[in-house]
Amino acid sequence: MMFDKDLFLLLCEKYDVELSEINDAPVIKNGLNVHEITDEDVVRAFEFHQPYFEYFGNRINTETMMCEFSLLEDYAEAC
Amino acid sequence: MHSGLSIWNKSEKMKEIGYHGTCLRHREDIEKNGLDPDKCSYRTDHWLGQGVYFFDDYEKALWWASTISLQNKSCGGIIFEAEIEASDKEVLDLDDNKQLDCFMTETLQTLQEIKEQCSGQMPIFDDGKMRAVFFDYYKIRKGISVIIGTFQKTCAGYTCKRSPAERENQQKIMDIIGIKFKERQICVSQKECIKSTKLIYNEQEEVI
Repeated sequence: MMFDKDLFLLLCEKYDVELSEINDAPVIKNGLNVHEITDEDVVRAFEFHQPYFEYFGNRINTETMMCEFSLLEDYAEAC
Repeated sequence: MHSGLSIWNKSEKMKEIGYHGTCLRHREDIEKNGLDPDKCSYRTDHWLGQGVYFFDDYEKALWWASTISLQNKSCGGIIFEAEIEASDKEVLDLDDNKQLDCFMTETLQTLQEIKEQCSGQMPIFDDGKMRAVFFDYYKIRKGISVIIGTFQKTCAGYTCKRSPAERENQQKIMDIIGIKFKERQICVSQKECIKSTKLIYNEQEEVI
């Protein structure tokens, strides 16, 4: 799939993505941390967030929680 | 009692019932013009990109409509049922590992091409914007009209009510067992894929 720069920039405009004149790579902001996008960032961004809405009394609390994964496999040991 | 009905003919097309929960103020426009993805605003909380979102389960749509209503000064929740039809090649099913893997491969490649070709216009993303841009980019480049994805969560408003302490323990247990509540969502970005739309629930007309 050949890169369509015009389409990409149009989508950045639609989603109000800031463009940098000085950066030499796409970056991602995570709180105060800004760094070049890694493969891990891509995987994390597409691990679906979990919006949570609760009605408790007269208040509505919203809390977004990231997925958390635990390694459940045990590795075999050579006898 | 409504339940999702899915008929999948892998050789030809997808045909599935979807449930769209929204606020009462949109009723007139939807009944007049239908559910139109082009009228949806571009939002970074659209987890599968721009389009009209459906649940495959009525109860989840009911929960969502009620939540929307509560967050909009009890405006009233409504649910539309529709048939979602698309040819197989227009569908990206992220619950299929092969299709997910293909999407990730293309996305990583696109990222590299951005680095090589967007000098002087380098994007500064956050998670939400990156997700939305790349999903929309992929949909348009590949001619995708429907994206399907299943979200997982450790807490859900449509399950038994629990205290904060119980919810915390629930989350721990779910993290240990690796099984969580699932929400399968369908994002449709082409209007012609949404057929036979009809209102099936109006909170304000419910008899108490």
